Amino acid sequence: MTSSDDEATSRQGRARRAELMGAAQAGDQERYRELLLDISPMLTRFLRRWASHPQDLDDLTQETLIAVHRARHTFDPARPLEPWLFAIARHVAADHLRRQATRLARELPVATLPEVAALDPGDEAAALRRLEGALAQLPAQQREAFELLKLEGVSIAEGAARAGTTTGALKVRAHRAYRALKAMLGGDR
Amino acid sequence: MSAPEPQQALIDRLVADAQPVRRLWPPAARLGLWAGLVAVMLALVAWRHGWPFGAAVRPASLPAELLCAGLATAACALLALRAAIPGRAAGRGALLATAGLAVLPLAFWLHDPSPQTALPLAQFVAAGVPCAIMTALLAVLPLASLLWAVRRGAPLNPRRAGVLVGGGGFLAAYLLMRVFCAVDDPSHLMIWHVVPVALGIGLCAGLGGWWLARWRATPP
Repeated sequence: MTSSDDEATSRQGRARRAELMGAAQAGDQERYRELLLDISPMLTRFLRRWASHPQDLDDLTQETLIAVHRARHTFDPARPLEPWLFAIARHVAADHLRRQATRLARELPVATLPEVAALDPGDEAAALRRLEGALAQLPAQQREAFELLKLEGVSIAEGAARAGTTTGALKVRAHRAYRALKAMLGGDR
Repeated sequence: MSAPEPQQALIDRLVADAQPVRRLWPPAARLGLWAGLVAVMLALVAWRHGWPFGAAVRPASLPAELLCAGLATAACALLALRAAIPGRAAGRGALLATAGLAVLPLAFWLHDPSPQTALPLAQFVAAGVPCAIMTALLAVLPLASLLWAVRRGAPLNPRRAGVLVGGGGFLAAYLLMRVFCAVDDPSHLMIWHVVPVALGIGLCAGLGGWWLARWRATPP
């Protein structure tokens, strides 16, 4: 298949999705089912970068489907569905990250918190960028320790084995990561 | 085509719940209706208190100031209505341009203040309090209607949507008050016209963060 064929297929797919949502707005349940089945894998692929493990990914996809359902009256069938759909998915993912950061912050062995309190709850995109940016700035070992213990939720022993270090060293790295994240996300307020 | 089992169960539930929905009108059409409401209010105020352009005592720049305030009001309302549609929210540039337009009316009376004698404090307050109250009262209808229109959608950034709704509603009130109130003294305008507008927009940001965020919890 040539690239122009691919483009044509993709264009047809986009037009078809917009049409299906238009039918769903009118109450056509079969076409709504077809649409939801079509967009679920797309959403799963899109949300993968925000989910630390499969259960999270599944939850995120389901939350997004519910949000899509509740916002379906706002879609204009004359426009493509994808920007509308992915805007909702990003919003759900940012919300999820914020909740996760709150949960993590409550587990920190420090008294004052939290990263999330420094974030503007209304500004999901900014919150997301800040959190992603802060994680990216951590040294690789600290980021790995943080991801293993707090995002993947593995035990300290398992985390140490996977990181190829001792449990004590892993705990120190994770603690430094917490402090660095706190300084980066809360330090400018 | 099939989805993983939990997703499949959810899809079944969503499909069973899929009743016909009333689609939102395009933002421009909704803005037109809202602007019509503000125009009717403006006409009523002008009819009751007189159109200010003919009066020699009003600043020559008043029409330009009102035009700026009107454009800023419409821009805020349009961005608020767009913020209620996923994927259509305004970018940073449009928001900054609207904010610039919203503060531009101040430049007219700060740059070219009308020569009025300073009032004693008691008179200054007595003349100003009714203006602040009228600003709040005149904001009620444009604000409530815009808030309702945005709540009908799905604002993904409720606090920002709240600021924009507040901007639309309170800038409309500012516009009406500039026709209604014949005092053009900059200190009066700043304290009794601009501060209530700024406070109102701040309140709307809080209200937006709470009430406009509820679309995800309730069906359309």
